[in-house]
Amino acid sequence: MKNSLTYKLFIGYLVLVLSYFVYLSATGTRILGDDKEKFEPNGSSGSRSSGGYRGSSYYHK
Amino acid sequence: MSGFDLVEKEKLPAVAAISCTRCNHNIQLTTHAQAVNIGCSNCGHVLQWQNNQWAGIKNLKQHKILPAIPVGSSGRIKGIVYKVVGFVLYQEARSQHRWREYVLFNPLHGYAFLSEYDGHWTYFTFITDLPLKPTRDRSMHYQGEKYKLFHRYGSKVLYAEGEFTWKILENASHYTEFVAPPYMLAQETSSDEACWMKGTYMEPGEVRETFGLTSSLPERIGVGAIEPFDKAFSFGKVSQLGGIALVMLVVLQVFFMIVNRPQQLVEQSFDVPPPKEEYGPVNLSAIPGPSFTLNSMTGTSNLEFELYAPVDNEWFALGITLINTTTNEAYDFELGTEYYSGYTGGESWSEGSTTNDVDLSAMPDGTYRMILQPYKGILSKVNSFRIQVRKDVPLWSNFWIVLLLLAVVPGVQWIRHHSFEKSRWMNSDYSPYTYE
Repeated sequence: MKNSLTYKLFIGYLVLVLSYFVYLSATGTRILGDDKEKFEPNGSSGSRSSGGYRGSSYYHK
Repeated sequence: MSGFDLVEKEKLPAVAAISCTRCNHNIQLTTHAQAVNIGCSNCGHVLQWQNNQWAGIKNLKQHKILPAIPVGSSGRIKGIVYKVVGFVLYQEARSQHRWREYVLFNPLHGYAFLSEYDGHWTYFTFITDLPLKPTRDRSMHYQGEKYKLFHRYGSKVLYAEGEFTWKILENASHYTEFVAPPYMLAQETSSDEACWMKGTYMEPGEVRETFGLTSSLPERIGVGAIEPFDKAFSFGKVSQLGGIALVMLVVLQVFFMIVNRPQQLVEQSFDVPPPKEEYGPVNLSAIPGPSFTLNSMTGTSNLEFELYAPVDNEWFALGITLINTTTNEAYDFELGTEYYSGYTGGESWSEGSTTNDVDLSAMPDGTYRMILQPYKGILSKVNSFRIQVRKDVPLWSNFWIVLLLLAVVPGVQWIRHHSFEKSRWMNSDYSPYTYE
């Protein structure tokens, strides 16, 4: 009985992980995320004007 | 007594009684005329049937110990009702290792043995389908299982009580043991006989329950020769389930690579605009980029942006703003390239690349407008760049991370199993493992 429950839990875990993979693949979601920043219209970015860039702080040797 | 009494009523034969020739202690015999040796539990004297009478041959009282299962106890193992008719304390001929054996008797099924070493119990029954010639093999196959040589040793009797069908003090036996947990094959050879026995591991709790014991049994030490690894969650079953899940993961990845083929949305080159001011920091104008439409069955999909810039010992960066014209949501991110090369200490070197890419996760459907803001250094010679946008690019990082998640439990079980097996074989002269 105890054996059966342990295996059922493990199988449940495997199914959960595979289902998560199906969701990720179907929606194009990357587990590690990305570096984009999202701004809602009239959102918290406030004074930011669309199309502007907040400044380069990226490549400096 | 009839077979019906034995099988249905679980009755065992009535006992006969003799008196110890040394101390007159009353000794009860279950196997009657089959017994050739008797050990007196009172004085430790060993009696032997010779010249039609019982005669004392040796006293073993100095090594007397109390059996964990009293001689005379009854219990059912694998459906067979046994009576404990004898108990022997053995020692290996060339070491100090000692183990204890209990002789079990059933009038229909004959003799069997329960062996206990370091608190690990093995139930042995005779088998007759293996060759009796002494084996020198390192492994053997029996009933579909591969058995590996675990131990070879000789034995001597230190103490005995109860009744025995063989001369316990005369026939020094040699044992060869092969293991395939939870089973063991043991070949016993002596000067006048040879036999094979198959052993099955028994949990101490099972032994206690079988014989209705109330006292505690010897504490388990280390890993037993045939002690099974984690019966509740075996490594073999976990590996099998993990393997099936792994195959399903590969199938799913291939399926989504076929269904969601990468599609190029944008490929366009741009000239870098001249700086707004001739002197001071480089300040470039933003460039209106192309538009593209994202349309998917699930409402979101990933995007890959690839930037190429002819950089040579310099850097070039692009601030990209994506505006979803349907929802007016805006997304900002940076993408840059750098490439440096030189000659130092007699060796040429290089680092970086003229291309770089970035993945955007789960971008909602809609029509997107791009705004590109280039950045470069004061002395930069970069005057153009190219941008490519693709959708539904396979996300291999997802595959590897999910693979890792699927492998975690089998991996942990493998480490536990490996450690367990290494401990088991520590007691063997034929261990496949190395120990520091």
